[in-house]
Amino acid sequence: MSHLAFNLRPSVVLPDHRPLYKITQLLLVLMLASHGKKSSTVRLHLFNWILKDGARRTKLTHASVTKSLQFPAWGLDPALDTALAFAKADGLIESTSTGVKLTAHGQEFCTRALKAGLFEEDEAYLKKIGLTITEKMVGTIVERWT
Amino acid sequence: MFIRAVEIRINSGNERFGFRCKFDSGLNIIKGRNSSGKSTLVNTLMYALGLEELIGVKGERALTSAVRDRFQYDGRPHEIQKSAVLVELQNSAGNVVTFRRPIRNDDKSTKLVEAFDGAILTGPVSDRALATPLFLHDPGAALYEEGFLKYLESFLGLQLPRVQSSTGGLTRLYPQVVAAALFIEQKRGWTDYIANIPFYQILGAPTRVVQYLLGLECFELEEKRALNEQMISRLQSDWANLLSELTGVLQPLGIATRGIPKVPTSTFSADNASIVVRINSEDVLVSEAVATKAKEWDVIEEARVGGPKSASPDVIQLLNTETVKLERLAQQYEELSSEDRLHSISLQEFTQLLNQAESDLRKNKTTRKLHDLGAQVGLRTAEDHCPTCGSEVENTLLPRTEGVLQMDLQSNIDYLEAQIRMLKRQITGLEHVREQSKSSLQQLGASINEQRAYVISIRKGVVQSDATLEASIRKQVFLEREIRSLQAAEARFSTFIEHAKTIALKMESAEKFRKSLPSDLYSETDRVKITLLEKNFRANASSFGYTSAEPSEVTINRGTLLPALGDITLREVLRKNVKSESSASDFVRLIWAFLLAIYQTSSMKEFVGNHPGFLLFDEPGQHSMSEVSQNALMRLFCGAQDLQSVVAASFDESEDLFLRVTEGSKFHLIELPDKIIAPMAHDGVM
Repeated sequence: MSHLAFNLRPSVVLPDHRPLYKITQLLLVLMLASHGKKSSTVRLHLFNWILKDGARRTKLTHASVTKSLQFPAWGLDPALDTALAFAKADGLIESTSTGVKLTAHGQEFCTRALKAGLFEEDEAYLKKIGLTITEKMVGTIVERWT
Repeated sequence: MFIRAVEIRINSGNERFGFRCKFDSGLNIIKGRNSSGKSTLVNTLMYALGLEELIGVKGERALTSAVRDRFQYDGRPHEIQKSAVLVELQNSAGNVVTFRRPIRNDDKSTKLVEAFDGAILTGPVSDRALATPLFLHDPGAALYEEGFLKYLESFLGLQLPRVQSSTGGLTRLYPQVVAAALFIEQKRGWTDYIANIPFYQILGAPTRVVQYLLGLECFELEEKRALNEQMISRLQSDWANLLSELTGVLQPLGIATRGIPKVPTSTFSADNASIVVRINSEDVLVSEAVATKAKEWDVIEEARVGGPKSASPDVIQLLNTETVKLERLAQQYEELSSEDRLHSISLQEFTQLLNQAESDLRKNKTTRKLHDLGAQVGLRTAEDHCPTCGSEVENTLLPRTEGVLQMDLQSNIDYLEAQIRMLKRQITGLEHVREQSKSSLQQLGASINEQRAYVISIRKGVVQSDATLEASIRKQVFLEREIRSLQAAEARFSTFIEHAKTIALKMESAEKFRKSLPSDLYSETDRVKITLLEKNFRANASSFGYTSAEPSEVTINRGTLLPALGDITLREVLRKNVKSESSASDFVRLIWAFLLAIYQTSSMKEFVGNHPGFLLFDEPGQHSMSEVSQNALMRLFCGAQDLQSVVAASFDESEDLFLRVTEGSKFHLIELPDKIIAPMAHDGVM
């Protein structure tokens, strides 16, 4: 009788699901594309979903000009909530009555990351979007969900 | 299933300690003061049967340190060198097996369970006898012969069905999942109908357990349905593959398909399917185009043959051989160019993969730098520790999947780099091949032109043609090529139609089968059983004094098979007034009533189910449960035929309460001493 032996090998992880990568990306959204460096969680979900895909990025750029969101819905990613929980515990963000806010510590971390030339692509994109995607635009869509 | 006895063995220094007790059929009551070791005994029993996941942890850590590290005896601590638990189990056929599982042992893993044939604790069999080694908690423990759970399953005669998993596909209903409805431990056991089901990615696990214990027929139907769905999706993908293969061949020839849907349907008719080619901005059926072109050729040929004949047979011979050469060259050209098309597609795919891998690599390297950066700023996450609890953080934000190891950052980077190197090599290779085939194609094209000119010139010689005839011959050669490629397309199309017919037929039967299945997958007998479950449940609930709602209003929800009021699964009902008992105890009554009703329904003579006939309730008198309710429980337990029940309770350390609760019940009492671990004679073999 012959035998086959199988070894369990670790599986590849999408970089998007690496805790620190996701955390930093979210911090950048707060720093570069949010009023008062604050945002609601559902708005962060929107950005998280946008940043995953080139076509979505283009569509949001368009929305930032027309001032109206053309997305009837977007994906809510459980990984984002976990990332926020870690970021909160690490003192990078803090809870507000409506969502989360970047702390000074978080801002310092972001600045260092950008200085090191990380996230150049996301940085350029988020700077271009700027503060154009408001809570109100997001709210209009979310209201239709209920 | 009948537990005959359990024994805890401990070696401390040169002394032997432990605890041993026997169980009877019918009701067994384990009575002991708080902290006497009641939970230790119950948990150790569950551990012996490989069910410690129900307590919350895998392995010996599920047990208290009193059987693992050290215990107090005679006012001083005793260190444990070795310890183990043995349990004697009898199945419905009357066969007995004794399991021995180490708790603390430097030589044996706690994943090892040894099975001895026969009774060691109550009978004469020596545990020096040969044991079958079985393993637990490793992948496959429930599947392979050497797996403990597999052994337990076949010893108890359980036939656990396959059920739908939350990840799609089928998984097994594991014994631990079913055991969650039989062994109700104290801490979380009284928080839901079947509270402690370990997570095995089973969709609607509690419902599955009830369905199994009642012996419903739905599993078989469901498996059939799942297999049918798998078949349908396989047919769909086969269809899509065939179709894209076909269009891949036809498109370069400018041929389009008509009447072929993108997905297979049972209504697909081969007669409506056709292929058309665009001629003079009009779609023409390929078969018609072939006929037309053949006619055109014939007309030219007739004119040519009808012309003046002066050529010698030698020239005709030459014409024939050279024409064959031309055809062969044209065929080579076709083959090579279709191969080249395939390469071009692979090249595109590889390039896409390469881009993706390069982007992933960039992101991973960014993450690595973030870790360095984060560590400088003192982020706990950057050191792979949870900032809140300090425990190790997984490599991914996604919930952990059992049995899947996540790659750490560095190996992921190494892996991606290796993948990129491989893809680059592939791409270079393909580009090289394409360059070669490009030049071969050019060469072939040139030879074809040359050969064609040669053939034409020979034909000219043959018919001593004038300029018009030469044009006709050119046209003829051109027509031949066209006809050949159209015929090839037709042949390809008819192979497709043959396959498509088979797929459509299979699809038809799959869809018919899908329609024939009842919507909720319950058979008539199943429905009767569910109604009986409801009756038993209501009767139990009223004997336990359930007050939050009228028992007659409470139903068993047909979807979840859990008790419900209207469409809402009954959880804790808010108290009606402050005088009535707290809502929590009312909910515990429902849990009792439900778990007992499952046994009762499963043991009805006409509709035998799969309940193993065992129930263990650890401290059922939660939330200052009334004595009347507890008394009713004991009476129902000792009245249930063929049910071995075990109740472990402290009875609030009151002898009076114990007498009142057990009044009128027949039971076997196991009264625990102040501390259960005490000197005990055993041979020290662990």
